[in-house]
Amino acid sequence: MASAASRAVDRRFRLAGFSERDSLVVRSMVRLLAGRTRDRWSVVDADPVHLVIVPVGFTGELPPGAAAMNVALPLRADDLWSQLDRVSGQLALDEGMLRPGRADNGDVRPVAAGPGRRLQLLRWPPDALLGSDLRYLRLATMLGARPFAIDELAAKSNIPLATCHAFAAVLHANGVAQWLIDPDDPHGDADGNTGLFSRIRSKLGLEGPR
Amino acid sequence: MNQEHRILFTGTIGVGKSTAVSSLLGAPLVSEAVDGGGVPVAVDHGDVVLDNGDRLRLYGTPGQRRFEPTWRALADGAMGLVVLVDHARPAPLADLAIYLENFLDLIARTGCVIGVGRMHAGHEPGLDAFADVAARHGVVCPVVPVDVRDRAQVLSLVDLLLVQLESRGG
Repeated sequence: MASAASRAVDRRFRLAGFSERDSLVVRSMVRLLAGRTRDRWSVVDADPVHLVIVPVGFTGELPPGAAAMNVALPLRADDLWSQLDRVSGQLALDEGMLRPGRADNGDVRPVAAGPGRRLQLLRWPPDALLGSDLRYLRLATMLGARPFAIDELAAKSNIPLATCHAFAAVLHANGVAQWLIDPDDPHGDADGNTGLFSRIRSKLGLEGPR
Repeated sequence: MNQEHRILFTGTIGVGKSTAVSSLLGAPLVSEAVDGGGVPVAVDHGDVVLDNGDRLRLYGTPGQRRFEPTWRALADGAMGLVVLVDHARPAPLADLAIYLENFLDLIARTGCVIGVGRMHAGHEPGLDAFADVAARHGVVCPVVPVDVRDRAQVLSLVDLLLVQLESRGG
């Protein structure tokens, strides 16, 4: 897996809506995570910034163009770490920074996300990327089963498209997924055993496919 | 005619295969004789009768390697696999490798979830090490901690298995 440090980008963030004490805690924790997060994060007091970190429930105004990240208190380092890396992935996607990769035969393929492109999971993602978020667990499970276009992934999982894009970018940035250009999707119209799976879900009290 | 569908729970002896199935179904398991290379082997299972009369049969495979012929017999026609790993054993990564190797055909054909039990925070190997073992076997599947006594957690394993099967179109 490629190291995070080799691609690190300098990013600026500021805080909004925290008490002075909580601000200190958040700043300290981000500083402690330096060298582990995908990007290098520096706290600043004024815009422009890449990211505004706010507490859960914050209702104030946010600067245009900046990503917002809600954090729950008390703060957990692993949550903060995985959220920062997810934001980095989304920013990289927005900035068109995704790099080309290599196919098995050595040919370079264009790999940026886009229409007609499907994401393939190469291995199960590191636990730090998934955290305890069941949405990411489900998305990774689907991508492990077969490559998905992101809009199809969002539709079948019933998870917001933006979340799917951000997660895809993080997977790609961490070297555990690759984009495929393959106009023929052999699974696109597959109905398979959906009746059987629905019956099993119904009997066990599991929600249907989302 | 009603059909029988089979999901296998495999792993080392004492890992909690029968406990997992029993937790899930809320009922004790029954034993059935399965071919073990010319010798009948008693295997535990629990059943769920589906709305159309089909039967979902959840098997706990016998744990020891000497039962490999029984594993193969159970894997034939199964719809998916749950591998349970006991983190408290001396070599849990090697344990996982044994079950991945033996069920590789089934995994490639269907789906697999790896549940790691008896994990304690900070104790190595972490979940990523188990995912590494899976990757070395060409297996990309969920690797999650599990307490097999907790029905919700066992149900979550089955849910993830179904998500894979649904994604592949069955």
